[in-house]
Amino acid sequence: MEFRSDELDKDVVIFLEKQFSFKDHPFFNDFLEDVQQKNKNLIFDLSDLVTIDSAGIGMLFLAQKILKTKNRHVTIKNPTGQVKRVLDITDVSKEIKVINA
Amino acid sequence: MVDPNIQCSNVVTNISWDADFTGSIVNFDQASFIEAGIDDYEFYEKRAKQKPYGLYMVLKTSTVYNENIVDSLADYLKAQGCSEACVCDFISIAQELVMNAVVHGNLGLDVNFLQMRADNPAEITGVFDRFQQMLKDDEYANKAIAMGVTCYDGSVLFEIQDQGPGFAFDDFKDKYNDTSLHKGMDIVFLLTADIEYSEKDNILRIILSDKENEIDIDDVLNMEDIRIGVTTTSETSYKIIRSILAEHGIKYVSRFNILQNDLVNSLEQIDLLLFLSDRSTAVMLDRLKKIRHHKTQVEFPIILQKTEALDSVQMGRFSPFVNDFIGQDMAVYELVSRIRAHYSMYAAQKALLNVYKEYQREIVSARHSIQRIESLSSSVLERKSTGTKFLSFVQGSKTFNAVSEQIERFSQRRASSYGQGFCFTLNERPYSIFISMPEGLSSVLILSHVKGYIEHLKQQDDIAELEEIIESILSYSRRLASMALNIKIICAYWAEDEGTFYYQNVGGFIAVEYNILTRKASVYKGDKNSYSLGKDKKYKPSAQNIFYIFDHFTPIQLADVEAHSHLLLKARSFWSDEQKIAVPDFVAKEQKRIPYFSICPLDETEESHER
Repeated sequence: MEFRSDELDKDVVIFLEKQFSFKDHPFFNDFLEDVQQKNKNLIFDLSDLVTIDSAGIGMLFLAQKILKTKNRHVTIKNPTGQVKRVLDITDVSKEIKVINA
Repeated sequence: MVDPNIQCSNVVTNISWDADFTGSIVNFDQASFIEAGIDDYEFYEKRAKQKPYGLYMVLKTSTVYNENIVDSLADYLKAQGCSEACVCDFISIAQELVMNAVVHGNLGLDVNFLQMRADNPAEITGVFDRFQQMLKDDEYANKAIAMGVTCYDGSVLFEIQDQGPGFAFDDFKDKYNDTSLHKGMDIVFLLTADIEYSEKDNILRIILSDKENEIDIDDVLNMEDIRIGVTTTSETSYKIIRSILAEHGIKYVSRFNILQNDLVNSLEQIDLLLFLSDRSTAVMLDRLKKIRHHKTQVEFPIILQKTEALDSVQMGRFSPFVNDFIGQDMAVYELVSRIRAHYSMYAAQKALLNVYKEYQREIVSARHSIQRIESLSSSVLERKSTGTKFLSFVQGSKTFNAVSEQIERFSQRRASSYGQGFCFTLNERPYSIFISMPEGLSSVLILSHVKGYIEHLKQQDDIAELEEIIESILSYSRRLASMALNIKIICAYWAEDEGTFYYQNVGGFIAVEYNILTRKASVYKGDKNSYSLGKDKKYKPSAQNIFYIFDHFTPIQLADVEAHSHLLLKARSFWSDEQKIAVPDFVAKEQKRIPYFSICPLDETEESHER
């Protein structure tokens, strides 16, 4: 996975690229530790993400779960192609807000 | 030893490995790779020689994890002409299955690995460190993962086998995981046309449909497109046949060398073989056997023309392997009509196969939906004024026990034809639907449609009119079968403030009430009109009565209802909010299971309050 982020007033926008999968657990765990300190909403921009697996989805849920305890939330933005297909069939939008620009 | 950049030109393109990969190519007709140093090398070597996969790889667990194996498999499919959409779905499926084989299979990490992640994020790093350590330990790293993939006629077949203890496939097959933690197998089930698991061999096989590449019957039946291979050593004979066939509109005729090394793959380039056997029978017989090993007579027609080189005894040896053999010279029109006949058979087979595959997909996807529906098959109703609770449920006919996956699907269609239903909640209002179809149209399909319709209503955040839901079902049913269907539908909702059950129905139903105190059943007098579409009817349940609705064609007696009510009340004593509520089948005379709808008081301790 490749990754960059923009920090706004109330949100942190994370741009995920290429693959988001099981192998990204360690990195993502560290990242979540940081985000918790900032106490901001998280927006995952998936415009350039090509594939996501169930572990990737699990990590998005995990972020949502952690942020909820701080009255913050996660938003998924612009999933496309196969990523959108996988998110759709697994009903991710029932638990995490998904927006398409 | 394998070249670091393996290129198996006949099948695989652009599969490359890191320089430290070593292994051997077992079978060049297919591309079969076995990595050196894996556990049980001989076992996989034997298997690789047997497997009819375009690409078959047996690799160490550490290699599978560290290399982009899924990309290699996907590259193979792309090289075979699979559509982009199909390859994308394949990648999503293979990512899940490969990682399952590594993590849960060969490393034996418990499925609670993911649960732990959610419950205690701080442990993730530790678990992952352990995971990485295991991948460096030969005890785990050298365990084999075998993967085979091939594509044919608009489908992709993929199988994966690890050396772990296997898994409870039925647990995944029979239900969807509603939690956010187990989406992996959901992805696999939702994207595949078919899936099966061999517990004995610990092999999971999936079939993925590539709709864009499915053969259109209209195209196939076009004789202009038929590709004919001609096997003969005589250049003159070949040219004559080619010109004759060209005169009859058959354009694609090519010389087919039956002795070539790449025989199996070359078969994909032609649809029918015209075989002028003018060589020694032993060699030819061997090649014909090889063709038939890969393609049956139905899949690949062969017409054999006798030549002077063969006597009738030798011809007889060929007969089991050819579709048609021609012993004497024949007129041109006869040859063409024979080709046309065999090709039509071949095309029809392909068309039938596509219909069958579509049917399979329909059933499989319907079954997936219905499994979700069935998870909501009962609903607890509460009368707010008194706190009295009731259980509303529908009990359909069930799938037969099956000896195989295929039989199970057919059985399900038959078994579910008598009626099914489910309960659901829309904008906090509990609804129930019950469908009975004596004429055999699968209620599974219709209920799947209803499920989709309800999802649509949910998105609108609206309650639903009973009549509206029934009309939707009727409309869908009529599209499925243009003839008038003897479909019977009950749609109901629970008004919790007044504790009353409102329902509408079409078709003939009979409502029966069982009195728990007197232990007697009687026809419910409040339901005088069995056909109520357009007007809500109501039933006010009480703690002393069990209410039933049956299709009035079902062979039941009031005594059956009384006997069943005893069973139901016995089962009720085990019901609790935490556990799944088990409802007994209604078994009438001749041991037939009867589908029914019922409202049963949930808690007998509330009876005194109700009275």
